[in-house]
Amino acid sequence: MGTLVRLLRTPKGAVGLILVASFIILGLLAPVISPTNPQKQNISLRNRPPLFHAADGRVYLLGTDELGRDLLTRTLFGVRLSLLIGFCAVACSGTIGVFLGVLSGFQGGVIDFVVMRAVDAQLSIPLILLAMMWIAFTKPSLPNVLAVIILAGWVQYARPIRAMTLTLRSSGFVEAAHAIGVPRWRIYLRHILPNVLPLAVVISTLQLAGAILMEGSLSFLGVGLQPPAAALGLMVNSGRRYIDTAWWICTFPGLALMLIVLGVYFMGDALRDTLDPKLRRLG
Amino acid sequence: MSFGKSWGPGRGHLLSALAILVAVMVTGLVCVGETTVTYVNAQDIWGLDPRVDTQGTSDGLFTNVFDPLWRVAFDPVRAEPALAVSWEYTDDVTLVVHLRQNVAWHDGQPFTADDVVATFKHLNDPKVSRYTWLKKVNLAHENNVEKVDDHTVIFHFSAPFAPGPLGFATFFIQPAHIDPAQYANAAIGTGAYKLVEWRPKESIKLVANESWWGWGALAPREGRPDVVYYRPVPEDYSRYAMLASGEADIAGGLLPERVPEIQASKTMRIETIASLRNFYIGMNAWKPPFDDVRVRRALSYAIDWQAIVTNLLNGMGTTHTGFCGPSEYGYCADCYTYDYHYDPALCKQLLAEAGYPNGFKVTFSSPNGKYTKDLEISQAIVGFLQDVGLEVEIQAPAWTEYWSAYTNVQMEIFLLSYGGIYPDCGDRASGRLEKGAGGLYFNDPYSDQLFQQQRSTMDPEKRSAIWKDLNVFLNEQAPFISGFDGNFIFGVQERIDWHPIPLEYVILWNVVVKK
Amino acid sequence: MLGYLMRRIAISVLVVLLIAGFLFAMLNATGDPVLLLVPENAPPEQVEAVRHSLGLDRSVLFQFGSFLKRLMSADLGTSWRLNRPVSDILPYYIVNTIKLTMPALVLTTILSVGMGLIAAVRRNGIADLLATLAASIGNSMPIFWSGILLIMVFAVKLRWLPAGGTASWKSYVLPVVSIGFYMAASLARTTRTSMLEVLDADYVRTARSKGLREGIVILKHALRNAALPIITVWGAQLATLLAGTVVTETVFSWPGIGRLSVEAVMGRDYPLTVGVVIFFAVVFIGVNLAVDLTYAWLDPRIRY
Repeated sequence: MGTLVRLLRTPKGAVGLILVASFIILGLLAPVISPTNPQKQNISLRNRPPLFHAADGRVYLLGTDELGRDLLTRTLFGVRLSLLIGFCAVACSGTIGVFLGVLSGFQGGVIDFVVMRAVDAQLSIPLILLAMMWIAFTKPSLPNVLAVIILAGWVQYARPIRAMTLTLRSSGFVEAAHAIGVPRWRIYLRHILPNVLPLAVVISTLQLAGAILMEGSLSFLGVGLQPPAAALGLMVNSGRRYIDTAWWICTFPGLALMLIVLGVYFMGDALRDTLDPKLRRLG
Repeated sequence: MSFGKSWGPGRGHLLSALAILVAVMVTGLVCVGETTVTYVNAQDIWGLDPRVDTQGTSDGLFTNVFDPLWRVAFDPVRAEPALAVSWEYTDDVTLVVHLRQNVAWHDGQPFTADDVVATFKHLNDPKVSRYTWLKKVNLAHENNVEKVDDHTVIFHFSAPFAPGPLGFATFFIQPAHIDPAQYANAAIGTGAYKLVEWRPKESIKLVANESWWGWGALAPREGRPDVVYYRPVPEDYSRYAMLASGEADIAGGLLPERVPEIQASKTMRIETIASLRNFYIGMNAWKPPFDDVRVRRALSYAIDWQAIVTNLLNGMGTTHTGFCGPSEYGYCADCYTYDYHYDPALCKQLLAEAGYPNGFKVTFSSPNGKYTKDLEISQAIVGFLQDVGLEVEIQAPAWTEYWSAYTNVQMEIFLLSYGGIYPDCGDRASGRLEKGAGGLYFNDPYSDQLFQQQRSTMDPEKRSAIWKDLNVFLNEQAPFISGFDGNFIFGVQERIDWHPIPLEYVILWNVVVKK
Repeated sequence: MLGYLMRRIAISVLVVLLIAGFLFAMLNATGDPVLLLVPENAPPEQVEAVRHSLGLDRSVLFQFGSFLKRLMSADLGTSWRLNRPVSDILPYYIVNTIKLTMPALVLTTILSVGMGLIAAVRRNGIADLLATLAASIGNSMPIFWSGILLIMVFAVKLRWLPAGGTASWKSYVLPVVSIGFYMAASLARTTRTSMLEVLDADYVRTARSKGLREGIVILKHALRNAALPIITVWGAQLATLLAGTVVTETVFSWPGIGRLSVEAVMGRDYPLTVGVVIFFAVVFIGVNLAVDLTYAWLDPRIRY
């Protein structure tokens, strides 16, 4: 709670938190507040501008997309799915990355060597190629897109967490605990984990934004989510070709995407300042 | 003009000023004298050897660099002499071809019958892509072409090939005096333009071949561009942007949405033409529920293609329910027993009669980014299928995955297109329905036999009768749902006079730069 | 130092082998590529002939063996689709990508160091907020959107710059800005953090207490020391940056390695895919080695 209050005190933290929180609420409430079904298409009403009044008296607040679907509804559901992808990816890749990072740093030896070579190998294959190969031999679908993003994400945790664990291992309190015979798992839980968590949280903010954007890149390359799913990156991608004839199709989901990512970045910066003990002293 | 002041009175300065002046004038003259045209489209070529690269867009480029024996020409459809001046069948499997004299390769060597013999010899290699075409026209065997004299050759077909010369108009003649292993390094043809530079994924530079045989015979040299740049630009908006900003003179593969914008402009216009590419819905006739002809017939009433063409393509397409287009040989609209059209109520009724009153669950496969708006069209189709009670999941992988699933007959129902290279129903229908020729998802011994017969019946009237039977049978079988033939949409600068043909070609000697 | 270098190189070779094995397994799991390399409705004898000529009719083990053997002799094979040796194809695209990324890197450095500095010096103020905003916007918009926006404004509406190609210096502006902003965001953030840490360090305080001007303190003492983590991020980000070049090169029709690599993977052109991936791996490993050595050079306390 204290962190939250501190976060709200900085302009960046406040802006970030408000942005992210409001999009989370919008995403959660999407099925309730949306005017219509996100998949309901009507090709005779495609590419209609914002505030379009249909013959049946319906008003399309943000207009319709390339298949005549209500853009407001799609954007709300897009926020929901994009956030879902972001949080799922961060939760999974964070857990894997922190676990392997701590293990690697604390145990050393063969485990450390194997994990770190895997990290090296993975970092040196461009992510986007890895993603395309993965989806080529599975099938483009939500679970596979998530799998790719998770696969991409864990290395971003493992390396810094390992470095931090190494520092912690040689610090006084861990060595003392070790000396008095505290079991390893207890040292992990009591001494290492709480100390690496702030770092993991800061990395997570970058990863969250990265995951949401990654979904868009995969869509651009044709290996992303399958229609009729509504995710923000996918929507921007399918609407970009109409940028001059129906600007709203990519602009509204694009703005939502941008604001979410900006909010997450701001929060990340503010969190880093508040969580980093060294920086906290400064404040 | 206070030119002298800044240059000073010195003699040396004066000389260098003169030199610069002359240089500027010379460059100016060269610039004025040369007309340059830039055209952009989505695809790059894969290489400089037309035997290897069989993409339709590459053919469209190669046809300017290489000459075939004859080309497909339209209005009326005919074989237009190129390196051949005349030809006659001495019997059903023997074709005598008289070659053009005084034709030179881009490197100056004379063109002779040896080149034609060599070309067809090198094409008869299964490792070479275009072998597929050679096989189709019954020429895939040794000694397929025999030299009589320097300007006469004889084609020996392994079996009669009824569509005739039109069927092998895309075999570009390559030089015998160059080792085929070197074909990939330099494109030496006899064509109207020399390919002088290829910067992969960036540009291809073509320069007019002043000694081309066709100047005067096919088109006057005057007004035709001296230098042409072809630029592959994958993004359709970027292609439009290059046209709008004047960087490109001709832009292919534009979205229908750009049409009003371009038409409204004073400097650009739209050139569009119905293509030989038919978009259709294929169904896997080997597996339930599509193994039941009643289901296939029922679904032939499910889709409002006209609505798709009108709304999604701004009317840039021609719907028809046949197995090939109205302009093609073999088309027979009044042969049909069933008049498939949009009638969802009838569709539901027929589905109920077939035992599916509540529809069924199915996975619809769609290409994703291969054709203009393919995924959008698929989604619209899925909407119509849902309206008649089907539960549809859409699967739109990248093209290679799609194609791999298609060739391995793993799909249930799918959107695909089939492009003809000449307006003959035999090509477009058999490529999708004949066993061994592309009938992966449907084939039938009866229609296979008819396909075989129509191909070997040289007499046009007898062939027509066979086509009638084929049309009746295929219409009853409803092996696929024919949607529409898409249009090619080009944006052209007003300073250029040029009209497209139903193939993905930009024939450069038909491009006129207005004064 | 030499021992360290040797060890690093040995490990790098191991990593490249790991990648090669992984790639081979991955590519083989994606199914039969031959049907993708022959034209539609190719007759069976053609499919078999192509399969044989590519050696795909041999056992998987044999294929892996010959694959490794070729790799050992630095022979990357011949591209299946483009029919030319991979080692002939790559340089052209690599040079083009370098031509695009080098100016982008310069732009990125100027942008990110500037913004990072402002943000660090005026921490949590409005200037910090605005600097982060500016730095983040480039990274919070997908390039396929911002790139097309740039084309619409500068090529179609204003007609100041070309929409694509590599013809003149003008063609560089839009893709360089597009990719520069994309990279700047993550670098600006690192610069900011490193500067924050460094500004609190003892030697900066000492410098300040000596009465040196703030500008000199920041530029001479702080930035120099903050350079280390910044360089590390450079190294680590290299592979992820490709995501940016792939999209940028497509949108601006730039003939670079990003576009080539996507086509190689999509077209199941195994030799080309392997060639591209090995190239990236070697660059990545090389750059990171260079980064570590720079570390040692910049920070005399580090000895290998």
